[in-house]
Amino acid sequence: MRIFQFFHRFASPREFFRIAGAMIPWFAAVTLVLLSVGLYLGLFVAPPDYQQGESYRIIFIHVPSAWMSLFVYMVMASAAAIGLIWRIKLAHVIAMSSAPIGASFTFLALVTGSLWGKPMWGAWWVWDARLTSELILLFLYLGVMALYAAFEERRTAQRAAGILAIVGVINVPIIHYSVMWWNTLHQGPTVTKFDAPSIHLSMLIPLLIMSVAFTLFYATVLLMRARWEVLEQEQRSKWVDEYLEQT
Amino acid sequence: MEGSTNSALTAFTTIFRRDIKLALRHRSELINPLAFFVIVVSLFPLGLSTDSRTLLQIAPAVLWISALLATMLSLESIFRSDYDDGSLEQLVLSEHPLSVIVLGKVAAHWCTTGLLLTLISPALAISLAFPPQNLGVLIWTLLLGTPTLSLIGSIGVALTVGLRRGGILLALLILPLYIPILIFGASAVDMSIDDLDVAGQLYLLAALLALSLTLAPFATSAALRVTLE
Amino acid sequence: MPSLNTDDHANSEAPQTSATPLTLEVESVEGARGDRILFSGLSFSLARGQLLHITGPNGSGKTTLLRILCGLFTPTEGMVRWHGHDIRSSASTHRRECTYIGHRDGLKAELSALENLQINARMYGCRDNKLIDDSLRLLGLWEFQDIVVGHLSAGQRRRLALGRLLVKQAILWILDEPFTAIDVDGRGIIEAQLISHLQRDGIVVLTSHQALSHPRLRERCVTVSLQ
Repeated sequence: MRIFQFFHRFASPREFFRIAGAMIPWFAAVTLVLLSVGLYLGLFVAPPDYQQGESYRIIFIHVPSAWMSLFVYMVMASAAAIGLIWRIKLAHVIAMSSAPIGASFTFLALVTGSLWGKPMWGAWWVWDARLTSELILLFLYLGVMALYAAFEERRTAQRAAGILAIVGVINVPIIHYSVMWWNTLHQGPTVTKFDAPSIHLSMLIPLLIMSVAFTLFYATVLLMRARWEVLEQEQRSKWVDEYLEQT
Repeated sequence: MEGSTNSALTAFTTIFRRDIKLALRHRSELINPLAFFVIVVSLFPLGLSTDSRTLLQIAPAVLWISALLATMLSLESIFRSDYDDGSLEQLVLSEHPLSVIVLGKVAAHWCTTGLLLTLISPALAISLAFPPQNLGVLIWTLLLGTPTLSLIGSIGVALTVGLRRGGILLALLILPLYIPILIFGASAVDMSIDDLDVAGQLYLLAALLALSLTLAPFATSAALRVTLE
Repeated sequence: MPSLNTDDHANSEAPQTSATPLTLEVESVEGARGDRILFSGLSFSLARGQLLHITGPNGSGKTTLLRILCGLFTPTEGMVRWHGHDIRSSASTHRRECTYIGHRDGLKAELSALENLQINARMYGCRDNKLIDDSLRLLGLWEFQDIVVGHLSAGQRRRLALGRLLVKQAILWILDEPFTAIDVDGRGIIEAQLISHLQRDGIVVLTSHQALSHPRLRERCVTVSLQ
């Protein structure tokens, strides 16, 4: 029950603005530490791959961003559902602040995937199943963002884009499996380089650290974006006036 | 309970018949998606080659993508005129479940676009050197696939109907969601040319239709209530 | 802040309303468009047999208020109750007992006057063809029933839109500028319908730039003016 009370308080825009403001420096600091450790371990400590040499090291960026691209979409759709069902303004703010961050992760996954593809496949772009899925995911993100930007009324924009995000999340697995199936149909069973069935511990540890770092990075940026969004949304409230006068 | 089922059915048929009647009074608009379908398909031999082997190779994709785009361009008609003349707010305020009304409208839309596209597709397929004995598969995929296109499309239109320039945005929202249908539809047609078994794809298309039939009307109604505010 | 001028004098002359329970209650409602608040803290209630006239300059939120009352627009704060229930939770009852005529007529230009009214009637579950015919006669549209709505005049279209009130026979009528484009004759017909609706214990909420002329409407009238 106390957790419930905490969330209830947290969901009030003013409390959120305050608590989030206090949390951001901590999140940012931990993100920075984990990123440095993860990159150091990944780029310098982990041994080179016996097949791919040094070029495989891009997975320490590519794999966490691909994970994040899906994770952020889930967060966005869940927050949108919470906002629509229980009419919680803050949930909509979280959902819509997540969209551009998720799109950036997706874009990063695509760019690193294509950079990796050049030495691996000899081409910048190959219609690999996972890269294609990632590309479609980027389209889904862009759709949500474009719809959100298209409405002048913030409340309508949040809810309409939220519905689209939920429709998208139902489609993500369908799209993923249809693309996988399509890929095997047209190219035969390709060697999926993104699978690492017997990954060495010295590679796995930096990968996990990088994933946690990316998640915390997302949390930090999300809180920052959501904070400004809340400030704009509540600009008519008294506490915003007081806050702006202080600064 | 029976009474409300009955009245929901009345609402469905009333809206369905109204929209069919309206479509029939706009013959030219009824023809437009079909004309688009025909023109786009005929662009490929002009732009590519008239070699029948090349044409046969691209035929499944060309037919499916053209049908998909023709459907997409006709989607606006589901809600646009109702929005403009105020009928849509009357439907939203109706005592009947909005999802039933939406289903009636989508059914009418499919009958006036997807169904007609399916009916003329054999003629276009033949022009792309498509073997006549495989036309059945093409028709089946379109019959199972185009209703799903209308259903998913209705969500997109409901989300963008309140915007002055929703056209391109609609394409951005809807096309990614169309990809699975395109993959299964086109590949079934493609594999049928090589006399492979395509039952799997047909089942998957049917499954997608069942899924969108149950979920899309609710998403569309929710979207309408939001965008009509 | 909007001022709430309840016309007490007019109210006291309608004694039959004092005993009936309040049917439509508006509780500290706030309406906003974008970041602009149109009205806030608006509360009033209506009993059966009362008419509410919402006045105010352009852009003061009259249409927004009407859309809140019929459930098209969710207020940013506060709630609307119908028979004591929030209209968002008991939406189906409220929708069945309410007719909204917006500033757009909601008619299909390609269908005839009769077809339009028939479709509306069927959606309301009304199968009474005589009622449809009577409504067309009463609105002076009988001779025009087979004409496509696109060819009718703006006033005739408005009359036809108001015909929905007659075929649905709901308790609550919500009318956005019902007299727009309507001639003196038509106005008389509609006012007469409003009076008989109020006498049947119906409720009317309307916006209109012109004052209500008929004394029997004025005696049941409450005014809310938005600023």
